Amino acid sequence: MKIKKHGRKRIRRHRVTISKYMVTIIIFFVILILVISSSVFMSLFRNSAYETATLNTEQIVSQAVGMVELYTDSMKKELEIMEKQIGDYETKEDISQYINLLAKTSSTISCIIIYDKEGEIRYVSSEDERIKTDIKLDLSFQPELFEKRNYEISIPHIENIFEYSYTWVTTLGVPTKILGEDVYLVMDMHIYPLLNYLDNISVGQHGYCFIINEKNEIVYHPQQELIYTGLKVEDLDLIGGMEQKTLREKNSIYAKEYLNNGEWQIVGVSFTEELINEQTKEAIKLLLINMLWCTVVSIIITFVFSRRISKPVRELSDAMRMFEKHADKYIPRDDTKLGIYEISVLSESFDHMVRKIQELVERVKMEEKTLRKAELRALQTQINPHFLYNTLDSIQWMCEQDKSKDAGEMVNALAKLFRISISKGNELISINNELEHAKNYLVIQSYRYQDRFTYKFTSKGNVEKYMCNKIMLQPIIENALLHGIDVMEGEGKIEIQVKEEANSILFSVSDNGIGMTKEQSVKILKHDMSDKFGIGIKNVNDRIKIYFGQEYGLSIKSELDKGTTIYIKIPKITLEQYENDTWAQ
Amino acid sequence: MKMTHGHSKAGEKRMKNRITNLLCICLLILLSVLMLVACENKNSSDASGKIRVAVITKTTTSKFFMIVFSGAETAASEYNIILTCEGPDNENDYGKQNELISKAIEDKVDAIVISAIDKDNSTKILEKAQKKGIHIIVIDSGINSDIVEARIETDNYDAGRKMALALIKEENYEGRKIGIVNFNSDSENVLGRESGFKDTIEMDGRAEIVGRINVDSNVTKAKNGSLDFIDTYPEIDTIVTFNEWTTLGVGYAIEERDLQDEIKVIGFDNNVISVAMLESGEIDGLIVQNPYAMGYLGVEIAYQLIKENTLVETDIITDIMYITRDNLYEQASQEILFPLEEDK
Repeated sequence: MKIKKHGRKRIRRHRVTISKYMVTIIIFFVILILVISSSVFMSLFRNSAYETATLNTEQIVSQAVGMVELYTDSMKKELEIMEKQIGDYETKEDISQYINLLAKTSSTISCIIIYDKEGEIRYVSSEDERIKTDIKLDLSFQPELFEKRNYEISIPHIENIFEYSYTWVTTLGVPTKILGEDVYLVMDMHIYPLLNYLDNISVGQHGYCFIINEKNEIVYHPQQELIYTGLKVEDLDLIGGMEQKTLREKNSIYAKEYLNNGEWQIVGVSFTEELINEQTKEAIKLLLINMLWCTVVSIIITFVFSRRISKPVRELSDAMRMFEKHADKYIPRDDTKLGIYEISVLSESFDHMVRKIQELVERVKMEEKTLRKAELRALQTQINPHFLYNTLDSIQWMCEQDKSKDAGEMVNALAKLFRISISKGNELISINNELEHAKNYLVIQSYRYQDRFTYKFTSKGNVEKYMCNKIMLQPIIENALLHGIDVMEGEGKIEIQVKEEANSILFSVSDNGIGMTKEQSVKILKHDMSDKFGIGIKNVNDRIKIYFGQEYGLSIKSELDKGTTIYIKIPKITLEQYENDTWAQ
Repeated sequence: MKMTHGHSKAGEKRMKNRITNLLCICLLILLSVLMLVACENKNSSDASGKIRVAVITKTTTSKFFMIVFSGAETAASEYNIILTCEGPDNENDYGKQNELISKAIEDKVDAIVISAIDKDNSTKILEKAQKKGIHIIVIDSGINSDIVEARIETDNYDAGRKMALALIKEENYEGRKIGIVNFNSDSENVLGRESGFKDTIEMDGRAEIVGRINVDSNVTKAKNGSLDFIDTYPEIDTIVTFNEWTTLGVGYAIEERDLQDEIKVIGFDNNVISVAMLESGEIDGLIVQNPYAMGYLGVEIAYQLIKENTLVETDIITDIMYITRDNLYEQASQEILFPLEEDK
């Protein structure tokens, strides 16, 4: 009994295992979530970094305003004190001495000048420097500025009243009265203290503060030289146009605030590159590391867990495949207690089913076997009475003719014939016995046919040790006699041959009778013969095929008027194999 | 028997799966690590020592080059560069300048910023430097070679042209007798200035260049030379001269002969004395260059070249300005004439 293989082929490549599927999906979601959350985080982070940077810039500008105001206030105070003191002096020498002393002791004051209303220098503090005799344009004399009386500081300019000396100063002056004359008291201050102040205020690493006036011109800049030589340009239109205190540009943040003189403004510039982008880079780096770890950990976890889930499933599917291939030899597993409930239930049910199916298969097999045995016996017995009657009839005829010797031989042959037929009730007998049986049959028949035919047995190879079906040759010989020899004229010849082949034993029974057509030879094997004699051949064929499989059995070669050869092919089975039942198909 | 065979087959498959999965993970990790490394590399600035740049000028004594140095120093501190500023005492001494170049090569600087005294005689040694991977940047005055990677200079021909145009613009220009006091030099820039000037004057044709002399590039010799020149060509009413020292020399000569009103002088470059002479009338006009920018840009571009920034601008013309007594104290003139640096 064989389980039929299904024709379909498995397309395994397009199938995805549970574990791969789960790992892929989970990794995909982990990465998706990580990417989304980190981009949200990054944008929040950037925003807050921007806020902080802006606030920072603003605060630093406020600080700068405080410092610059402190400086300008102290200058203003100095000028106020000077103004008061100078008003009290009564001689020119006192005044001269006083301003010289003041200028000398202060590091910020370049010089102190007293102009008359026309801009003529009345007094000037100087050490060794000579005043130019012919000054065409005195840059320190700025009466409009002095007349404001608000102690405003001028924008930086060159002090050009001394010979061979051109110093950058800024001027602060006030109208006053000395010795009854209206004059301007003017102080030229070095610009570097203020520049140093500004220089020290830094926003981030490269950010800075600078001062612009009401006309949006740069007054002080920590990189004044770069500004003066045109190497650096500030976008003053942009800064002038600022309506709010702060302005965010693509690469920089501006913040500005008025000084308390109401005209100057301090502008702070910070660079987003260093304040924000670098921080962002750091944050991205951290995020990437975290993302990496998260991904790796999640991969490992899903890997482990998916294996836990998929392992029993895979085992189950392997088992099913196994069962599919070899249903009868499949041994149910017993390790279904562990793992996931649903899967173990599935597994148990499967095993249950397998056991049931195997039981059923076994039962069907058994039933079929019994059925077949019954059938065979029925078929064997079918032959006997008919033949027996004929033989006995012949013997009776012999006895009547007083051929007692012949009758004795015939009775002997018949006895042997029956002895083999009934031997142990086994289906297989040794080939020798079978040949013996056939010989006995032919002995009997040759009496009946009055020597109208001759017969010959030949065997090739070592065939004695093998087994064959019981009463296999006799029906075929019978067929040859009835259909070949009986109806022909002249002497008939029957040759029985046994041949050992590589994997099988081949019997052949040939006669030189009338032969048959192709249709007949096919019909004989197909049971369609209503003729009672035909049953014999079909019976032999069926028995062999049932017993050994489809590749064994009968084949017929026949030619009209020449004769017929019937071949019987059976496997090589020794007595031992038969007794131990190890010759399975 | 058959069962075990089937099992081992499935096991093989499982092994294969596991290997592919492991491979995937390894790949992922590798990728991320690579990404991180890439990030790291981008951020890391050169930890392996600072950049070294040598600025070698024609001389160290002139105001012009002092301002060049101050510009270079500003850039160096901004870009965190180790800077050396050197030059011979004498502006004709190319031998000394070549020695300084050799020294810079020995010091293994990354770039040399040079203002060449002689356009031919330093080429060899600079080529040697270039072969050793040193970037060559020229400021102010170049050399006759294509090894130069960047130039930052005044358009000298244009400067000469501007001097001429300043004269041409004047009302009583026609029929002027012009004298040229130049100095002995093979430096590219001085030759350019003179030809720019001459070409423009000759093209206009209304005035004539009466004579020219070459003097040594120092104040005393320039002054004596100018005195001789004035005596030789008494008809001269305009003198044009092309560097800081000769300008002073001519100025002193005019002062000595008291010819402030008779002879118009247009000079080149500025220092405290020439500005004072401009105020008091010995000199009537000065072409002022932007040495601070030269120094600054020279070092900045050196830095960019070393960092292999592909967006380096390699030919930069710095501004010049024509200063007269009238615009001397305009804000823009003040800013370019008087460097702030030395006040500190």
